[in-house]
Amino acid sequence: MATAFPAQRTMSDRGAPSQLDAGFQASQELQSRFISDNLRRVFLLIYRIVDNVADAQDLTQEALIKALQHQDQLKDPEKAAHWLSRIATNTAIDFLRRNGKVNFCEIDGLIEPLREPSATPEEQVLHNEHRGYLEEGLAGLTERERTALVLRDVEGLSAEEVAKQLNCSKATVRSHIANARIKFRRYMERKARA
Amino acid sequence: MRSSRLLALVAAGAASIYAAILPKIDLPKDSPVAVIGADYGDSTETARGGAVVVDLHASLSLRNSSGRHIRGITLLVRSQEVTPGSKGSVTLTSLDVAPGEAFPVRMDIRLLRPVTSLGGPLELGLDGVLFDDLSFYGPDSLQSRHTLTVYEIEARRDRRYYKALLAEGGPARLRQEVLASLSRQVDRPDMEVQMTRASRATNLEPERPVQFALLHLPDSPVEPTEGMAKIAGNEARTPRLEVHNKSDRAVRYLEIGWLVKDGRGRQFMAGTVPATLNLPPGEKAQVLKETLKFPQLGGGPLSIDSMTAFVSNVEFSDGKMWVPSRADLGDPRLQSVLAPSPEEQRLVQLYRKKGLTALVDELKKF
Amino acid sequence: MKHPPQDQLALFAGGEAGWFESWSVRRHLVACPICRKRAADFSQDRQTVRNLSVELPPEVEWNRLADEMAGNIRVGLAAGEAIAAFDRPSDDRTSGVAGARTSWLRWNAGWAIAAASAVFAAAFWLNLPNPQAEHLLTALRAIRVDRAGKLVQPAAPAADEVVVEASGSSIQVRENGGSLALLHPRSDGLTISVNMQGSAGARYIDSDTGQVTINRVYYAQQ
Repeated sequence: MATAFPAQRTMSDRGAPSQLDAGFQASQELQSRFISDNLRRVFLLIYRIVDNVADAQDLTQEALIKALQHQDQLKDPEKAAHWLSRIATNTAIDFLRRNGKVNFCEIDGLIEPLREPSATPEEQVLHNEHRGYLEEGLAGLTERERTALVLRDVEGLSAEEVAKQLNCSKATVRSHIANARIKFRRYMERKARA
Repeated sequence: MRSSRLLALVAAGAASIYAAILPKIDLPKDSPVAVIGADYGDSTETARGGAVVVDLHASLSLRNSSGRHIRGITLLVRSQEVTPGSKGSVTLTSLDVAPGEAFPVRMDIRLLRPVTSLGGPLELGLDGVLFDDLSFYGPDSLQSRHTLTVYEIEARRDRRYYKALLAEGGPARLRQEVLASLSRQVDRPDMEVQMTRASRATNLEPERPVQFALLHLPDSPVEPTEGMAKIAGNEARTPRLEVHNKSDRAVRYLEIGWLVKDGRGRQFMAGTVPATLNLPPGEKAQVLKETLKFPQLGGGPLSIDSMTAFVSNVEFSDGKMWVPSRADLGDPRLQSVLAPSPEEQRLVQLYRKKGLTALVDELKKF
Repeated sequence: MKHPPQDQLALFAGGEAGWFESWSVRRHLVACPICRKRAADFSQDRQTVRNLSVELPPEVEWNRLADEMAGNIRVGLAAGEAIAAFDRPSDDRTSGVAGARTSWLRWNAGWAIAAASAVFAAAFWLNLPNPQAEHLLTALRAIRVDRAGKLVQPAAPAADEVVVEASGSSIQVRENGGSLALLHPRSDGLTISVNMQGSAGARYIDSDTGQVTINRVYYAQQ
């Protein structure tokens, strides 16, 4: 969605208060609208990558602050949504690199994470129902796989663009995507049998 | 006093569960507020080990049945069976409730009593209501007249201050100040607090005499002149603090604020001490009588390194009050540790939630 | 008939397979209903992921979260602007009243920087269970303040002889084995105050009603 960016007004631009109040308020309103128009989309994108609500909240705030502070870097306002998505995914990926110490250029095997041995089948079913099945499906992926899948299948980036975003080779990205889809398919088949 | 028992909005079959939980609400016949609705929907009573836990979640709807605007209200909360000598209160301030208007009061109360105790009802009463002309109604058993009036005077001071900033520097100036307030709020070293009856000082901590540092606020009608105490652990024993009434009016009540620096170098606002007195103009008086027990902060024992006293508010014999001006509050020793007024906190939060335009619109209402 | 490996089918379904791989898989699918079904499943899964990705996690109360995030973004931007004003080179400043105003702005922006950086040193961040404080801190961090204090780890709370206790979630008084607590679960901006002659209060803004609420407990002095 293309949304007009609020005009950036700085302290030194301010003249007599009565003349600029209307302009300042208009810019504040545009800013608020930009935030409200994009907040949910950015939050969901980041959340799907980092898989944690609290981290997603912090990173969403960070991404929108960055975008609004650097809006002069956006040359074509029609591409604002795409540009904002790039900032959001970069913010999430940087976070995973720093905090999860994830190296996006390593390739995982197809072994899935172990389930907790104490969960009975009934408990697992109940847990699944509560959690929502996309959550469950994506939770079975590694950070690399999940990030690549979200960028490709949700954001619609080409494999080349995903590789650029993750700073990896296209071959590595294709491995991540393939593994992610295979694991997700296995998960869907288990759900169908349950 | 007429008492009224309000029915919870629950199915008849569940009513018995709530019989022990429903509070008894006592309002006088001439009360300026009336309870027009109450919802205790999520309230529960649970046995837990050797205790019974009552969780009361009350959403009351009160109506202003007086002919004046209400600015603040204090409700008293008591459970004689559970905590015989102790009580609680819920105060709402920075209100603007017009005559006939309804407003919500939310309370979440937890009572824990041993299973052996009979248990009794929770009582809710009215301690006081403050109106926009600063008149007061209520028994005032909790000093709520003084407290609500101080809050209202501070609110008027802070709104005037923000409106002046808006007039001279526009919305950007106002926003700058609000942001600075927010930074101070998040920076203030406010920690979890415990207060005990028993002494925390041990035989290993000898008493040592400490002279109080005194903070003079230029506009204050009363100033501290000298003071000292014997410090042991978190207690200031045999404290002496002399104050001087610089004004031309008699003073009947004041509150002393205490800034404390502990052994770890942390500086914080430890609390206030009230003093009721009859101090004629120009005279001096001693205002402390009892040992001052300072709260423990952050869960650890407190060891007092130094103490600073200042006069945080004054009530004259004619009922008028003095609170520090914004200029007084700019003192760096206070600014970093003193909490903002309730109104400042409300306005800053309004900015945070709804933006500058909403804040400017709110200020225009007054 | 030799079936193509799973990863080839998965990539084919998303259009990432190379030219030769795609041609090879396409040829196989004409004759193999099993692989055709598998490829269709992979394709359907892509759509499923897209459809479900717009759903919020079940534990999220979106309106509240959105309000909080918008508020924190607003604060972060305003703080960033204050710092930008501080950093602006001196030839931008004019003389006279405007100059006086900008030098005042400079002082306050400097204050905002110092206050924001000192946030890191405030021990109460660790004590406050309210996660809102942490998210606000993160918004302030986004402006990259480079001075940081040291976080102080609080000592374990004393459990004996406590009569009044105030924390991020409640304020309570205990007596004779019972206790009365006033909770503040939906609170913003919690402030604790103490009257050293027998009471403690917790002041906050109720996040649903916007009202300033002060819960206070009083204990009987011995």
